[in-house]
Amino acid sequence: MVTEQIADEETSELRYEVRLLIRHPNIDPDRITETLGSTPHLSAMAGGVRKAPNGVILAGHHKFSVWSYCFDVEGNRLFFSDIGKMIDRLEPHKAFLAEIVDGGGSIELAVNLPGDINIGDSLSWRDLARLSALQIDLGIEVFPDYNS
Amino acid sequence: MASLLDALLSAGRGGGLLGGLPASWQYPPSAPEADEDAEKRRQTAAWLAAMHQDPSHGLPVPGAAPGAMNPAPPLAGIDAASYGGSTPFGLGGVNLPAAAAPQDVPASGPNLDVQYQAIRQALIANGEKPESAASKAMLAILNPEAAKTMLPEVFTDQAQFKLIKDGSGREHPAFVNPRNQTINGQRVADYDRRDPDGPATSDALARARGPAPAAPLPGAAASGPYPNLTARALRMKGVPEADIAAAIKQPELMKALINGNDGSASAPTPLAPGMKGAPESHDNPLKGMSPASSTGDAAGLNSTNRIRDGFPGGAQGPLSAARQNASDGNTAAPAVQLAQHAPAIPAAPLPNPGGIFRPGTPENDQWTRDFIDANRRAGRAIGNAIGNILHNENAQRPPAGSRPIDQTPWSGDHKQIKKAAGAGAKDDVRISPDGEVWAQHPDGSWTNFGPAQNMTGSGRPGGRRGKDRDRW
Repeated sequence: MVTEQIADEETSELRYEVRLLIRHPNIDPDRITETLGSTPHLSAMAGGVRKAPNGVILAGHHKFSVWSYCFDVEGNRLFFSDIGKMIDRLEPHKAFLAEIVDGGGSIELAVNLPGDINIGDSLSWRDLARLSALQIDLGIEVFPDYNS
Repeated sequence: MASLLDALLSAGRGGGLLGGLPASWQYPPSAPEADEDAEKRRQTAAWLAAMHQDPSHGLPVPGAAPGAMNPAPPLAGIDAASYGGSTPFGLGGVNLPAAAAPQDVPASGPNLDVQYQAIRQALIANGEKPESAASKAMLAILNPEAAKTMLPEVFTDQAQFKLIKDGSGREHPAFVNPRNQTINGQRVADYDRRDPDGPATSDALARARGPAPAAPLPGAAASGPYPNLTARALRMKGVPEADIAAAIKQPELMKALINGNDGSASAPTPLAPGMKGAPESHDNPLKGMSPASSTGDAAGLNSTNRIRDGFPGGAQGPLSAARQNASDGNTAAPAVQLAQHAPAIPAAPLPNPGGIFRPGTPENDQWTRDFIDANRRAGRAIGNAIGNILHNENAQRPPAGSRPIDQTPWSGDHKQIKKAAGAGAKDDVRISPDGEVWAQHPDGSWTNFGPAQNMTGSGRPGGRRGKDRDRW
């Protein structure tokens, strides 16, 4: 039983976040939302008014359009598995993603990892090839003080 | 000189220039010549008696009235025919017509009259009075031993190397000829005009006549210590021997001497101020230098109107002024110092401002301050230039003191703030000292997202859990 408790505690410490970030000089973020069919947690149009998360209006305007979608995962050590799942969802919109990139935008699929535990995984060459085909950048970032 | 003496003295009886002397004064007469020699001695004694009557004139005729010019050579041995027969000959106004010559003299005998006249003229030419010259000439004719002493003196340059003191007590090297009364080949009057502050030449001459003449310079010859053509030419221009001696070892000085700066051949001033024998002038330190150096562009020489404190064409700085106002002991040595005993001339500034200074002197302090200020200004200019590049008005950057967010109390909100800012994995996020969030974009630009509390739901820092979290 003790072994099972330790395993549960370790599993609970395993956490990470998968985030899709699209930045474009002037694309309408709603178009991204409609195309991908996902509700972003952040979207802004280039030249639009900047607002803080708490609704406070900031000085200036957005320099570029931004669209971001993310989800948290707990209890899984192999975080690249969720990267594979995202690839599965984006591959149908390969042309649209290519338009974004060709228009001067960028697509980043990143994994945010906690810095207080040991966590690791390897991305298969097949998934790397798929990311490359979709012109998607893979990002990995570690946060020492990881808070969900 | 030696050849002349040999010709006069080495010949035996009946030969050589002095061979016609009375035989009793040369060699004991032989038996066959006794009568002839006796006749000659008689004629010579008569001639000497007449000679003492008026030694200032030519050879008297034995038996003639005292003071009368001799119409014919009185002495045996005078070979009138050898001088061209009827052609008048003579020295010192003595003419000996061939018709008046005695017919019993040997055809190839010595000519005592010629010897007498030659010696007399030489003595006169060397400064002897005519009366004294005649006596000495006669003595030389009659006494070969006296001639040995007299003739070398006649044909030897009497110039002696002396150190002449001027009015201030300084010594000047010079060659003094007491017989000709010349100094360095110039008459005393000319030498005095050449150097107004020069030595008292009368005293110098008196000392030169002293019993203990100074030893000549090593290698000194009759015409001077440096008998080459260049030295001779300079000597003919009136250049002092001391200057010639100095110029032998200094090609530039030799060139200046040859060129002659002032165009004067009798009173050249080719030396730099302060050099021995050169006029001292504090008006222009470059006066008297070579022509090239006087224009300020001589190799290695300083020019007061071209380089100051190391900056060509610049105004005179305090460093130069301090140098020029410095005492002799603090004056920097000029690039070219031509004399060991140079006077305290204001030294021209060196091109290098970092010349040798004594620590603690005002010059050194001033130079140090200038150096520090100059470097400070230069550093400021460089900093401004870099700042204009990195901190131009169009670019916004996190202010100084901004720190990465993971090093701030907002580290626990790092992920949330990055998501709110739309920053990627490789984008840097910092917190400014006033608590504002700055996020960097992929193009390198920065955007201020305002206060960090606006980026989180709670509005409070999430805190840090690392070892160094208390540093903030």
